[in-house]
Amino acid sequence: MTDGGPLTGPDDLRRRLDTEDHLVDDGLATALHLALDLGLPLLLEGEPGVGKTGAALALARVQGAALLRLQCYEGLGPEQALYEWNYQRQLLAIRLAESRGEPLTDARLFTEDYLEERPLLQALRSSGGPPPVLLIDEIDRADDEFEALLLEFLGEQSISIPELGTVRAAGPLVVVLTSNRSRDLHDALRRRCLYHWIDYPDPEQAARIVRRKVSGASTALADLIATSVARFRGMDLDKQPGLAEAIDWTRVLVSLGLADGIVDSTVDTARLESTLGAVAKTVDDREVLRRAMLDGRLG
Amino acid sequence: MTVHDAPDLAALAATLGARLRVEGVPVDLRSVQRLTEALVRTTAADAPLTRRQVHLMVRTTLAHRREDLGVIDRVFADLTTGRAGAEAPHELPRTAVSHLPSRRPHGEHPVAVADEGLPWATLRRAEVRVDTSRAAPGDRPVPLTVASARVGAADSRLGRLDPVAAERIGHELRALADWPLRRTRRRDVGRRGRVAPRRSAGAWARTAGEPMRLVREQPRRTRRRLVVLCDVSESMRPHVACLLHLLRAAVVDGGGETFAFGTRLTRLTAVLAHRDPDEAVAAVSASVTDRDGGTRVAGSIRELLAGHHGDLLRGAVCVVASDGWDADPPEETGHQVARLARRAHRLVWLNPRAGEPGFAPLTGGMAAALPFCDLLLPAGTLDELRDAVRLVGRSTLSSTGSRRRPDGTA
Repeated sequence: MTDGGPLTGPDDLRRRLDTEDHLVDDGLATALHLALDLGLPLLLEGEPGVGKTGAALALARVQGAALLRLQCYEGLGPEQALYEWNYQRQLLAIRLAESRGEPLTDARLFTEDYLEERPLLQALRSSGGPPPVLLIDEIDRADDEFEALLLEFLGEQSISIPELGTVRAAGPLVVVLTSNRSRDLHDALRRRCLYHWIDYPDPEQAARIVRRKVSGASTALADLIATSVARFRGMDLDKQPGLAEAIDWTRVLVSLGLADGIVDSTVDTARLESTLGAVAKTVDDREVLRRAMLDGRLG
Repeated sequence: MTVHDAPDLAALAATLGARLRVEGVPVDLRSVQRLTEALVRTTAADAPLTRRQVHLMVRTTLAHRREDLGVIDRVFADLTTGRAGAEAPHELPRTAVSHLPSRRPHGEHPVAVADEGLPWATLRRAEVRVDTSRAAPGDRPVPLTVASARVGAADSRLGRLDPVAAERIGHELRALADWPLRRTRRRDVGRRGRVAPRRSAGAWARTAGEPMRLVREQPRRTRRRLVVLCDVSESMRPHVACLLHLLRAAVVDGGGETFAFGTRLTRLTAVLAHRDPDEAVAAVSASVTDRDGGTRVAGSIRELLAGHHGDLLRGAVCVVASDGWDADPPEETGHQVARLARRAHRLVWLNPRAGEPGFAPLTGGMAAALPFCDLLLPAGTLDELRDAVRLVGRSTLSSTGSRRRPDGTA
């Protein structure tokens, strides 16, 4: 965590993210800064593996804030996202009241004691300290009904619980949504959010990131990996390698001690092939990369 | 550039919003308000804004999807270089171009005949040529066009069905409600299925804790995604008009994604969704530039798989409508169709010629693709098309069970 007083602007945020080993371009820095400054949810879209989730995690570290994460999946409903009543305890309370011969009303049964908070409600009710960062990850994996569930939360920063009334945010709230665009999100959701598209970084930036993320990676190795992965992305692959794959591959090479050999092209091809699992995620891709490697080596 | 002294930031934001709306980006007032707020706050706190900073703020606040970003960049560049007042030089073609290139007479189109195997492009009345060149003495000639009843309607060019017939076909296909379904992870209260502990407990709370009623729940079913690829090459010309209505039904009622391919891939979902079928078909005619030409099945599928829409195939029923006459080498087609089949839940191939007597899947592309198809269905007549839609929606295709393929891929 870094604490340098209030943020002064996107460049300041970028510098602070840098100290947390998260390199961003000025576009993402501006988007994150505006999300903090205006208190609006931010929708991040981009190819898999460009650091959408990482950006939210780094933002939480920079702010020294708690991170609340809601991983979306199909079938996700209000019970997992907003709140749920603890029915078992309610039943026990009913039995207890019955055995004691006490009258029991709805008002006593639907109270805070029986309310189980889920991430969205937690985020609203957290107080003290810096505002928590709520990450709603891969929202495109949830079904589209779930988007409608989020509208009140994103628009008014409140959740209405029929039995209790409306819960409003205790303080400012930072909400980051990510999507892989596996399906199109509804306009109503988009309208409530700031929007930023994260592009795959250019090879120089990718090399900088790889160097920062993998201790022990030389400048030459990072450059070579970044240009190779950029070249792989132009090939006909089932799964295009992203930044995450570039970092993984560098880690593998460093841990196997192949780093120097690959830079001066003295490494054994068979050994190099055995590391391809870090970049190629299907049999077909592996074959394509293997052939490319035999033809022209790397870079 | 810096923003000049005491600028009216609200006016700047509103102007940008208005310009973008003209260019087809839906900018609402709330976004304009956000942009103003962002600009005001930053100018209050910071040194003068650079153009880059303003640009990034505009992108973050006014865009809602990736497609907006390009338009915003362009409009912003126009505004800052002082070309704002001029007529928009590259207005997006939001409406379909209605004039269509005139049709080539039959005789003028060259027939591409490969030295070995079948030609991949042919005249519509191909049976004459096939009769003379391919039929060995004693062989029964294989007719290559559809039954005569359909030729009347299908004879016209892409999309110019006689309006009554088009409407009838469209209505019939849209009346079929059997689109494929899948189970979701959500559960609804039902009469059968497993006991729902939470829901039961909720019900018992209402009866003073007495377990009076067991609530059961079963998985909710929802429409499975449908991806339809339609071959619009020369050899498919008689069938395309009819298939277009199938595509439109898939978009409007089946909630599917549709693509046309000849030598390259064109996404049709947006244009086909138009309320008026005639407009929709006219828009397709305007947007598909590679129709009535050659076919590159492998290349088009590769384009689909590599592109952003490739992810739409996961868990989807994929329907390919093509006669399988293909310019790409069969091995490559087989390879790409195998990838397609692996990514999709089920792969159905509609071949307009499959209903003809004596049909055998011998064309290179069809033979290569066949091992990976879950179903090969004829789609040459309206009846066959109707049956095909029913079969696609059948539970065997919708179910979640695994499948076995001849090559062992599951």
